[in-house]
Amino acid sequence: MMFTIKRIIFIFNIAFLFLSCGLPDASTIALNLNQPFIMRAMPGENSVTIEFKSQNDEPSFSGYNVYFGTDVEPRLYKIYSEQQQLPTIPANRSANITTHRFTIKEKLYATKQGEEGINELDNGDVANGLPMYIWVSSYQIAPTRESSFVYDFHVAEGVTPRYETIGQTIGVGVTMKIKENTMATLVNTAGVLHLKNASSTMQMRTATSLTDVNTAPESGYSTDDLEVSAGRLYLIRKTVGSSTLYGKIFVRSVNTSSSTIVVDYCLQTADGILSY
Amino acid sequence: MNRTFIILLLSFLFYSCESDLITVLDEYNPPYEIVAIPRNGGITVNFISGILASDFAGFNIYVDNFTQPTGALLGTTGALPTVIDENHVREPFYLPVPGTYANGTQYTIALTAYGTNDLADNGYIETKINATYTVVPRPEGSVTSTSTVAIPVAGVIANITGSLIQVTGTYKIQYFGTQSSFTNITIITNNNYTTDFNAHAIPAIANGVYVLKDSGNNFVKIWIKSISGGNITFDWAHRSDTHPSNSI
Repeated sequence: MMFTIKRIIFIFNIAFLFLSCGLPDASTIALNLNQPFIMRAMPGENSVTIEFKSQNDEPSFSGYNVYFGTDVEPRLYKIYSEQQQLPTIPANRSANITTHRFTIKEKLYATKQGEEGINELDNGDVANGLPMYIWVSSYQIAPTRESSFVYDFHVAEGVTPRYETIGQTIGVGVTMKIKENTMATLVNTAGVLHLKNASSTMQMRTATSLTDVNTAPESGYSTDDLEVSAGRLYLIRKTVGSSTLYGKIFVRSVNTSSSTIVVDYCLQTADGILSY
Repeated sequence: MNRTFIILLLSFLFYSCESDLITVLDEYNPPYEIVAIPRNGGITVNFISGILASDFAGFNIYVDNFTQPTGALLGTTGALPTVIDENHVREPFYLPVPGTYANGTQYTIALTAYGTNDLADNGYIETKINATYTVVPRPEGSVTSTSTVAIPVAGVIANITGSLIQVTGTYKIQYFGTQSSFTNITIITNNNYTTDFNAHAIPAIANGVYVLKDSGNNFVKIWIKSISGGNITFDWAHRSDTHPSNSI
């Protein structure tokens, strides 16, 4: 009798284990890792900086992997950490949304599809004028799992490094130019500093840095001279032969007594590319 | 002996089952880039979401009450979620907030992803409210005029001189480029009257959105629909309240 009860309990227990406790544990279930969201992608000179948000509280979450490549294969390059390991950016799990910033530039470790081993990126991999298509995944090491591939709107058109000049002091009569392409000239009109178009059209925004606007508007420009103030971003569009080039000038400060301004400016020298 | 065996088994059952039940839940990816868009007597919420989980049921919208989930507005069926939806790849959403909201009153909103699942502690899964967003509904309208930019109540706020728009009185102006929709520009991040707005004339561009502020409480957005000679047609929205929200 005792034996029978024991056996019933035992069998019952085994069955119960399979039924309810047979649910797989955290290491074997196919959790969808929450996919990060790239909020901003800011081109630099031979670099791109991305800002992304994510909320990853999955039990085995390890961090984020950063990929970039062409529009056909955005996962051409996979970036490794300084220790030449994955994830690219180690991170702890969190119940809250967290914000991350990462710059893709030369000398980072990466693998490239079709090539062997982990190598350093060179300038040609992050070339000015070459659109980069970027993907960030959330990642767990064991067992290896990654979030589902999805493009974010801010990178779907490609993010393109460009030439820049940072922190230059400009006096009246000076024309800002990059790679021999003139952008604008500082002039004094009736005692007020203006930017005069230099075979270009312009429009102005209030801004806090050169990177406040990263995709050039295709319209909204005028040939009018624009008054110069600190904390303003002047967007430039110019036609060179059959090419359309976009650039921007950020005025950091204005010194009215010396009639000089301190500016950051950049120009996308690839024809028709709006990313800058 | 038997009793010990049973107790051991039971405790094992409870211990292992409980931890399994918690870890099996797939948390939803939270909505990103939430923007509360003010309308005339209403509010629209814009955000980006991508949720693959099959038990996702929709979005909860909270207005001034952030107790989850009971503070959320009920949906048309009288139950949560506020707005029914299905699992989806990442895409933008524009949802009108149910109800009417008084012009000139500041509301604070939040939005979450919500679903029901019997395995969850309370029978539901919901993303955390990570942030809240203020919004002030305001009147809006459309005007056609010659040489002047005048709106109801506030009167003349700017003049059109040649290709330029020149603000009047204590008004100052900021340009936001050409836009395909009046609501594309809603949150004015650089919103300091002294340092961020311009007193001087700036180009008046068709399809351009401009935001104007005076030294008092007037806060105006205009969208130039057409401009030819001195003739101008524009849409406007106007706030004259003292609320801190930088939405227009």
